[in-house]
Amino acid sequence: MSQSVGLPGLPPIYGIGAVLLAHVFFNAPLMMRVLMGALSGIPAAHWRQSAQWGLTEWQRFRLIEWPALGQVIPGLLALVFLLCFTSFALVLILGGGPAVTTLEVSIYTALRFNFDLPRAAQLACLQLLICALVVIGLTAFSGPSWAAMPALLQRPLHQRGEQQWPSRLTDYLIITMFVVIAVLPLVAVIVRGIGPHLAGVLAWPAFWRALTASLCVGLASGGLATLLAFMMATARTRRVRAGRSVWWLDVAVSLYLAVSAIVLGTGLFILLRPVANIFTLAPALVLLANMLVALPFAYRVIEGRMAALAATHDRLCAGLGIRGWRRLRWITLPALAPELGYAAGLSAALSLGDMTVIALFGSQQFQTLPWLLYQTMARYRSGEAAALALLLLCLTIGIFLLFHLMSRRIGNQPHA
Amino acid sequence: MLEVQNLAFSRSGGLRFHYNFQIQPAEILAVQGPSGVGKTTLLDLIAGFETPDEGSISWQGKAFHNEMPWDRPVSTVFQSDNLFDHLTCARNVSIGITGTSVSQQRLDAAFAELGIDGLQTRLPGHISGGQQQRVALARALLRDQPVLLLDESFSALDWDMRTGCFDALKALCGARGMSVLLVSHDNRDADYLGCKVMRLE
Repeated sequence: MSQSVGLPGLPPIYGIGAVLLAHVFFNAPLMMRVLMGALSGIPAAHWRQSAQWGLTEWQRFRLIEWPALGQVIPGLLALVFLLCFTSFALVLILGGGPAVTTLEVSIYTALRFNFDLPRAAQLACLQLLICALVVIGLTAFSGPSWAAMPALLQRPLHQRGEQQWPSRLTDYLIITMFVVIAVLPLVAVIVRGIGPHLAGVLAWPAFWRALTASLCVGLASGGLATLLAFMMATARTRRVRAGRSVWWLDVAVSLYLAVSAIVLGTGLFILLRPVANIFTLAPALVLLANMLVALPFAYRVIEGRMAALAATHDRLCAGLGIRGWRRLRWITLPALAPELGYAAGLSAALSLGDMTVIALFGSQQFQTLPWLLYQTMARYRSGEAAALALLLLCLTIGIFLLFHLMSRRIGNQPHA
Repeated sequence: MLEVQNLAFSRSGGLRFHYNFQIQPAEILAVQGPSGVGKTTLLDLIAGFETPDEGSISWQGKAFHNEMPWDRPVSTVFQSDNLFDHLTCARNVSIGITGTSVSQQRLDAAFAELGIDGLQTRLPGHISGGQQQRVALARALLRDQPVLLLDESFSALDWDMRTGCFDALKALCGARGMSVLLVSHDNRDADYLGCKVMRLE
C-alpha cells in the first residue's frame, strides 16, 4: 500500500508493524459490522423516547448504546483475538522471516519444510488448546450473532445535538478514517493490478488452472458448508422444539472455530500420509478442510434466522398441517433464502481466499489462485502478483455478490 | 357439538386451569376474562399446541385431544403472525388447505366475501393489518374444519372493519354449522355477535 500511494515515511512493508497494521485492516470491517448489528437491534421505541426526552449524546450513549454494545464487545474481542491468533497468510506474507512468526506459521514450517511431524503435532495441540479456551469464553457471551446478516436501517429520527457541527465533524472524521482503513488496501490492489501485467497473467496457463481449481474448491466447499450448516440448524431447531438440550451442539459448532485451518490440515496430513499420497488427495483435502473451516460461520448465519422463523411458523404450520417436504419447499427454503445465499457466498469467499490449507497441500499440479499469488510474490514478480491479486479480489467479491443477490432475489419474490 | 369435559392444565408455578363447556354447531361462544386466566391456553389446548393433564375434548362425540394439531378438526386465527411473509395472499390461503385443492373460483369468492378482493397476488407485508387478518380468516373458512378458534383475531381492527368481519363470520358459521370459540377483551364483540359469553375468572 505504501508503494501504491507513494507516501514517504510509512513503516516498512515487512515485519511486526506491517503484520499488526494488516490485522487492523482485516478485522475493522468485521468489528464494525457486529457493532452496527448490536446498535440496530436497539428497539425503535428507545430512540423515540430518547428524542422525546432530549437526551444528550453522552446520556444516549450511556443509557441506550452502551448496554447494547457492552453485550457484544467481550465476545467480539475474543473472536478477533482468535482470528488474529490463527492468522496465517498475513504473517507468512508480511512477517518477513523467522523474526516474526506465529504458532500457525511454525506448524507450517515444521510440516512442509522440516518434515518434523511430532513437532508439528505438539504445536497444533498447543494451538488447539489455547483456541478452545478462547472459544469456550466466546460461547459464554450471548448477544447478536457475530456472523449475522446486516440489519435493516430504521427510519431516520432526529436526536438532540446530532445536527450540531462538532457531532457532524466527529462523524465525518470517524467514517473517513474507517473508509481509509477498509478501502485503501483494496484501492491499492486495484491501482497496481490494472496495468500491463494483467494481460500477461491472463495468458498464463497456470492462471487458468488455478482459477478452475479455486472455483471448484470455493463453490463446492461453500455449497457443502451451507448444506451441512442447514442440516445442523434444522437438527437444533427440532431438538429445541422437542424440549431437548442443544448446548452441546452449540459448543461443538463453536469448537470448529478453535480448530484452525492449519490444525485441521496438520491432522489430515499426519493421518493420511502413511496410507496415501497426500498430493494426489490434495483437491479433496483442501475442499474438506475449507468446508469445515467455513462451517461455523455458515451455521451462525443460518441458525439464528431459522430459530426466529421456527418461533413464528411452528404453531401456524402445525395448525395448518404443513409438514415435511411441503414445509421445506414452501416455507423454510424461501423464507431462509437470503441467509442461505449469504452463508454460501461467505463460505465460498472464505474458501476462495484460503492460503492456509493450500499451503500444506498445494503443489505444481494443484494450485489455487491465492497459492499462485503467493508463489508469484515469492519470485518478486510484484507486477504479476498485483494483477493476480486484482483478479482474485474480483472473483471473491463476484462470487459472494452472486450468491447473496441471487438468494435475496429469490427471498423477495412473491411465491404464488 | 364441540365438547370440553373436565379439561385441566397446569402451568409451571402451580397455576391450574379447569374448563367445562359445550358449543353447538353454528354457535359462537365468546370467552372473556382478565389477562392470565387461561383464555389463550384454552385455545392452545383445543388446537393441540398444549397437552392437557386430564379431561377430554371431542367433536360430535369423537375425542381428539390425543391427536396431533394437524389431525384435529380445528382452524385457528391468531392475534398476529398468521401469514407467511414470502407467500402471496392467495398462496397463504391455499397452502393451508390440505388434502383437496382449492379452486380459483372458490378462493376469489372467499376473498370477495371478506372484502379483500384484489389482494390475491399481494404479499402480506404490502397490505394492512386488518386485511392480513381477513386473509387468515378466509383461509380458516376455506379449510372447512368444523371448529374455528379466534384468539383476539380482530382486536387490532377498527370497529367498522371488525363488524364487517363479524358479519361474514356469522353468515359463514351459520351456513356451515361451525362451532366458533372467540377470545376477546371487548364486551362489544359478544354484544354485536349476539352470542353466549363464558367468563373465566
